[in-house]
Amino acid sequence: MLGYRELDWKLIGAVLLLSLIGILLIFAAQHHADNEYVRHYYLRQSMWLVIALAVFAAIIHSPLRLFDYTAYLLYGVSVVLLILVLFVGTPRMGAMRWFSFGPMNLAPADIAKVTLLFAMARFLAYTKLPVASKRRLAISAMLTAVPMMLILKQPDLGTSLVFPVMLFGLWFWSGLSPLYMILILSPLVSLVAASHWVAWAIYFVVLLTFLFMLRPGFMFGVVTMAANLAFGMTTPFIWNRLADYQKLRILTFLDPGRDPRGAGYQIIQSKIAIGSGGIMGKGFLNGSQTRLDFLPERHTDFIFSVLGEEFGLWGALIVVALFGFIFYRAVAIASRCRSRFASNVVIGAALILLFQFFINIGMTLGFMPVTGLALPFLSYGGTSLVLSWTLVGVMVLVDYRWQEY
Amino acid sequence: MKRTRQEKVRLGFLFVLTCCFFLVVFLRLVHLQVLLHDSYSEVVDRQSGGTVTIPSARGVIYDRNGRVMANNVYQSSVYAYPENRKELNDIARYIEKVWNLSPNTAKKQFGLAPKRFRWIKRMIDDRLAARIEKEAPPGLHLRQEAQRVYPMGVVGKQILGFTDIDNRGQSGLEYAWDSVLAGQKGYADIRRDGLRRTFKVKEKALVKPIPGQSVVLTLDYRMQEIVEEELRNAVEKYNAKSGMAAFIDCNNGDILAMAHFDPSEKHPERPVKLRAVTDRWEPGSIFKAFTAAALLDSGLVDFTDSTYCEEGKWRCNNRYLHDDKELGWLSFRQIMELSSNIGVAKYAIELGGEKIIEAARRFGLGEKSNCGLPGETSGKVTPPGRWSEYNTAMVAIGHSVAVSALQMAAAFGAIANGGELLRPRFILGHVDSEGCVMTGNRCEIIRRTMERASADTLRAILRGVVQRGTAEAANSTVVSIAGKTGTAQIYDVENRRYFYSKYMASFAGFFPAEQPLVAGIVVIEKPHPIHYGGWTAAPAFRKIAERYAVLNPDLFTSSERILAEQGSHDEQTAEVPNLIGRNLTNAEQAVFKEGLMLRTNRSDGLVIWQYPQPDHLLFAGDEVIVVTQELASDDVMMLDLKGLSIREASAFASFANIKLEITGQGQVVKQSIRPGTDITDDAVCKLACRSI
Repeated sequence: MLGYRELDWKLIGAVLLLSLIGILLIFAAQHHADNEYVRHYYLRQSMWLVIALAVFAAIIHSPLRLFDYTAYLLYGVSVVLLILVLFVGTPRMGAMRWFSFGPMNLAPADIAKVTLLFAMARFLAYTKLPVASKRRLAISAMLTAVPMMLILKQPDLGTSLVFPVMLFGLWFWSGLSPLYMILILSPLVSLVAASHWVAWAIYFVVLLTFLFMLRPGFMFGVVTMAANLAFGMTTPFIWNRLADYQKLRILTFLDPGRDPRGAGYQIIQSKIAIGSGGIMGKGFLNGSQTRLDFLPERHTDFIFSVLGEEFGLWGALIVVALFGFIFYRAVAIASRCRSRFASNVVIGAALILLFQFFINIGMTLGFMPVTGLALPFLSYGGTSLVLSWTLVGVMVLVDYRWQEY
Repeated sequence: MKRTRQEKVRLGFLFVLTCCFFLVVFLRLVHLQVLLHDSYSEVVDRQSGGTVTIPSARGVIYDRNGRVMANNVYQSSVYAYPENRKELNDIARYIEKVWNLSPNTAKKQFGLAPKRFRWIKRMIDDRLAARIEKEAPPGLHLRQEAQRVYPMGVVGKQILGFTDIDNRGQSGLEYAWDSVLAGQKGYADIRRDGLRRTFKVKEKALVKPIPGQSVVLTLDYRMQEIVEEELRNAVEKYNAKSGMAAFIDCNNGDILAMAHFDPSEKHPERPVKLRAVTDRWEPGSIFKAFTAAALLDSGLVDFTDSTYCEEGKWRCNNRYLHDDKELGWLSFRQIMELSSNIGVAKYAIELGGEKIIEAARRFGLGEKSNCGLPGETSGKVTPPGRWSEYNTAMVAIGHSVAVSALQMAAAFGAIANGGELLRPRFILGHVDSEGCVMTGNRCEIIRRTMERASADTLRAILRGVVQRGTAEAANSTVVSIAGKTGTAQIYDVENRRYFYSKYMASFAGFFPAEQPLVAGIVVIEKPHPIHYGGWTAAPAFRKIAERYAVLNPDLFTSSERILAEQGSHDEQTAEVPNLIGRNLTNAEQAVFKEGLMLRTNRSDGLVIWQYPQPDHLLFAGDEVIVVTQELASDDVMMLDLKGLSIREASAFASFANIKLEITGQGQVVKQSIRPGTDITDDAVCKLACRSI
């Protein structure tokens, strides 16, 4: 029987508080909208919260092993869903991301995040392969690549970015040497740095210094350098392969002022909203940016701007602190639990949530590119809310059963 | 599971990395929300803020009796603001349908374009507005706009002026007092959204509009109506080019009525100027009143002093002065009554031209009265380049000087009230938005113009002008009039001489002569063929005076009133007791005690009205008229008017709201509404009168 007293109520309270703040902000975001349907988004989000809580309750009542044993099965199902959505999904905004069931929308990409987490955690926990073996790396990379590619196909660049982050995080957590991380990650950095030859040159100087200091061995250094060179040289090709809107997003990120009424509009307006909020904010339902339609996507991607405008610095800091608390709890849980699988799951879950948090908030604050990643618990979106609660549910479950192997 | 050292390092690394991220977020938040807060707030104001003006309600204009002369009505105007092409096309089609335009013309005609504001039609009627409100396609909107209305129609419109479609004063009073009437526009803090749609944020009026102050004029609407009518009649009857008139209350300077009439004027309701104030003209003989004032003040003449008038033709400085009639020896009084140029000239030469100019200046001629009306002329009263006898004579008879009608009215007001020149005033007071009178415009004495004794003498002389002299046509049995006629040749500017047969005919005076209340002037330009002021302007003046007197019977209880003012109580007079509110028996007793008679419309009830008013003096045996009413009834029963004077009858009529149509003069002998019947609204009673 579940001992309710031993549950991590602080974590649950923090997450519940975040979800309620989210509903409040969705209400504020669409309160002034002309469209009555849109005005009632907060009710739909409330309904989703109820569903999420039900899912959460179900998860904490299930044995942890259930997720361990069914990890690959769930992974398979979600891959099938990702394939299906490309064919029978509902096209919206030029992308095939959702299944529609009447008024409800299901995003399989959100499900895939969780199922991949379980699958990766299981694989990395039980494989007998050495930490740095190529097979181990290759298999885990393949596990990640399949759903990621499918999501890129939708296309949904933002969500697909979560997958490699989770991969690297779990690699790191399960003991991969930082050198390998550099080897694997540095070509990607090179890819970005190569967009300008000066930046690329500086990057190479830094990389060489780094390799020289760590002395990983001659072969390793050569391979790293070669990979970096090769990736750097492919930059123009990849750049040309990018869709226009993707190019625009990158360019806009680098210089939002280049097109203030077009591509840079969202970032500029978001910064204006947050900046004009000041320390105390303009007050609930008083945000001029929010109510006057200046803020784009304000109930989803830019929900944090609504918060910053109407509740100011203290409101934003409360939300940031709550996320900080989630992370703190995740690390505490992960370092305490005895099961390898469980600790992988917790760290992975925390990474997913935090990555989305940083990317989203970084976007609204104007130091990250616009990616279309929702803010967990706060942004409008049923699947996202339910899946975020699922992740928290797993954390709470692991914490509760920390002694289980 | 015991953590290895390596794992602890990894955890620490993750922790530090995450803390760094949080730090970045924190610093960025502080950067945006604290350091850059002000500049971002400015951006918000710039991109979403803005102000719209909220029109303020224009002040109402009342006449002295509280009648509304100018007010606002709100009407709808239609404008288009299409969001896109589709809306634009819908709007264009709809406009074509509603206003029956030929297809595909509306777009061009109104210059419709997406996201552009265009007026379609302003001030549409309410039915159309209701229809458009119901069925208008998106993008076609209605806006309420205030429009000025003048409930009295064209009466006084010359003075009131008009406003343009944006409710700004364009002429007359609306123009001169625009700053007071218009109030202050309010500013609303509007918000524009990201699509540049304007939001009406009602609760955020930055500056509330201050409604304009309402203005109470000294103008008497009824007097204005009378003056306009009579002026028009006179101009038409005497075949004149135009006419103007001004009447003021000579005891406080209130302008009661002012008008001009010119049949050739294209838009009589929208005149460019108010001629009684803006136009100057040579007054001619009416100026002799001021020459007389100077002479009387100097002690050079008295009532009976006589002079030879040279049988109508007198050589002076090698030029001739003419009279209309061949006159011999005349007293000064007769000279004035018959308006002898030669007689006046002889006295004036004796006195000296400068004295006359000084006197005229004292009367306010040649200076602006600053009454607050736009475009006022100061007239021209300056000494001629050289004082010759002839020049002195010309000034004395009112040539080579120029005056405005309003100046003349004010100056005759000074003669009438015993010598004090009062500033003509136009505004009695302001009424603020709560309905309180803010500043009662004080009656202002400009200066003493002549000694009281001289003024009394001059009034008597001017009364004689009407009784026996050139203005006999102004003599009235209803009200006693005093004044002076003028028939001035008009100066031909081109040929630098006077026209032979073009005249300004005028009559300036006051009434009642014994205790003047109203002073005024009527000027008729180029009457033809009768050109004498005494035969054109004077009768018009008389009609105006009579009609005004009939309208205000309380003010004109002539002989009785004078009796009371002089304080010569004699045994045969009786004071009228206050009967209002008493029952009839009680009232009868009170009246009989004073030796008076009572006339009543019913045989019972409470007294609700009486005539004359309490404290007036009557001769013993005179009748006091009372109206009684049953309790709990609003009806007034008709009074038996037989045997009453027209004044008494009209007093009753004005109380009972009956319109009188009077034939004959003297006492009422017949009345069309039988005594004892209830009086209906808008009743008209025909009275036949006969002198007994």
